[in-house]
Amino acid sequence: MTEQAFERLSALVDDELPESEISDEINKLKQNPSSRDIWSYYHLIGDAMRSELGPLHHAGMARAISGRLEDEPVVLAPAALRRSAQPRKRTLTGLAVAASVAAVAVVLAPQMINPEGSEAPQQTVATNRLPETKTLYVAEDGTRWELLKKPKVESRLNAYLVNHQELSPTSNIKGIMPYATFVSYDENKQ
Amino acid sequence: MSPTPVKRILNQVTLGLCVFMALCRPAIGSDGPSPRDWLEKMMEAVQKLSYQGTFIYLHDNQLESMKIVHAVEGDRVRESLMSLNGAPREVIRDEESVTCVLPESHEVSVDKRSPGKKFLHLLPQDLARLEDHYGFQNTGKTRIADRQTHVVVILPKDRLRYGYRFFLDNDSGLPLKTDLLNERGKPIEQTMFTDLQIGVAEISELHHRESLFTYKLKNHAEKAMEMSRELSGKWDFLRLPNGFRLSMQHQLHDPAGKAPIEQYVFSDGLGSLSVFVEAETREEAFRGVSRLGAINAWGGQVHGYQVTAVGEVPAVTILGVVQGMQPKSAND
Repeated sequence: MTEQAFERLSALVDDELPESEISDEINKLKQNPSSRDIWSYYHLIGDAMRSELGPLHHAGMARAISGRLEDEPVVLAPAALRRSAQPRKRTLTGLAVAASVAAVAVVLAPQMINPEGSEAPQQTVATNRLPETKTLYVAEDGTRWELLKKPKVESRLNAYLVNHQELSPTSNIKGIMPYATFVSYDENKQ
Repeated sequence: MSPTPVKRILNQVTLGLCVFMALCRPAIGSDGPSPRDWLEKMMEAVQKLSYQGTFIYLHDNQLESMKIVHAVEGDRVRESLMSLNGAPREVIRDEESVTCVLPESHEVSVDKRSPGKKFLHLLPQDLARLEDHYGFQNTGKTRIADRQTHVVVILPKDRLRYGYRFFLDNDSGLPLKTDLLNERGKPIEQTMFTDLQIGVAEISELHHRESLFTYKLKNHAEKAMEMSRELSGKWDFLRLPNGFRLSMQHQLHDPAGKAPIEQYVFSDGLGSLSVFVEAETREEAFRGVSRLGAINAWGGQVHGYQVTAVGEVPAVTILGVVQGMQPKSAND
């Protein structure tokens, strides 16, 4: 996939494409399984970053979602598209999320990387909407990886990260600075 | 023999260029050093100077303060980073090892450092190559930690990588404030010195610290993952995100498992990520996405292998790399 294709896909997820180009993009999605996967991952990231992954989340979900998309008719007329757009969004995220998500159905991956809200509001969201996940958050111990509740998984990921950072091209410039992510203390999780 | 007309024209053009450059030079000179000159100065300063200071670290709307020490003695560099909020976690690093002091668990872990892969390091001469994907700009001057700074920005040309804004000490070139900018140019992680001493650096030896006597050495500590050489990996990565290329691959020996882990490092020269491939399945595997400050990670199964990708790049870039991976046998 070209960088441009990535950007268009991200714009589609972000609802930033001009209406006239949306159907084109959806057509391309339909024809290209790999962009479909990426597109569904973008959504998946969004759900994950908002702590909205319910028990339905599993590895094959991206394919399940894109498979579903494949079965849906592609609407070419803009007017019809407008009507159909909203239900489509809801259906897709509905697979991933048991809570009410219509309002946040379409989000851009970069926003999830740097969500407008802080971690604290995210927790509030988790508390308000999905009370059952609250205990998990509280039980989480020590380090700061988002969405990881398993110490073993986390320590493995930490090992990988340290390993990676040693080999990062900026390691000579940043020195020990990257370790700030480990050293940092997370009052929300203690 | 008299020069051909073409040659004569070329000569004139060359002469013209020389005159033009000679005229321009004073003008450029009066603007001061270029952004690249500043970045080169910074790269040299952060490695060669001894310094210590306190900085604040802002990420995800959390504010923390930390103490950093960078001690240079001849060829040896010893560094320490300590959190000043909450539990006093500390990391100490020298050429051979990385030591983490973790008071919550009363543990000290010592990991051997991988033998330096210095060919991966970003060097001043690599800055030119970065200009394919990043732009450099001088954007002004301001005061940080009571010192005059010069502001240099490294801006990505697309959304597949992060940018930086450095506030460089006028005298030393040390970055007094560093903003990591996301693909939309918004800061996602900021560090800023509130106080800095240059030429002074003191790290107390661990064995002199009584407070650590009750700590135990973490079990896996001595047996950190070791690298072994492997020339050809078992995976192909197709359609890499623009500008990223495989910069190295090798195998890691995992003391906890039988099969080696393959590691692939991708980089555009500045941003980078690693993909780890494990043949073994484990009860608790990382599936999905996660984030730690500006670092994104993805874990999942690819053709029956557990794959973990992690790096200081946008999640989109990580997913782009993982999407294109294929076992080599599939192509044979």
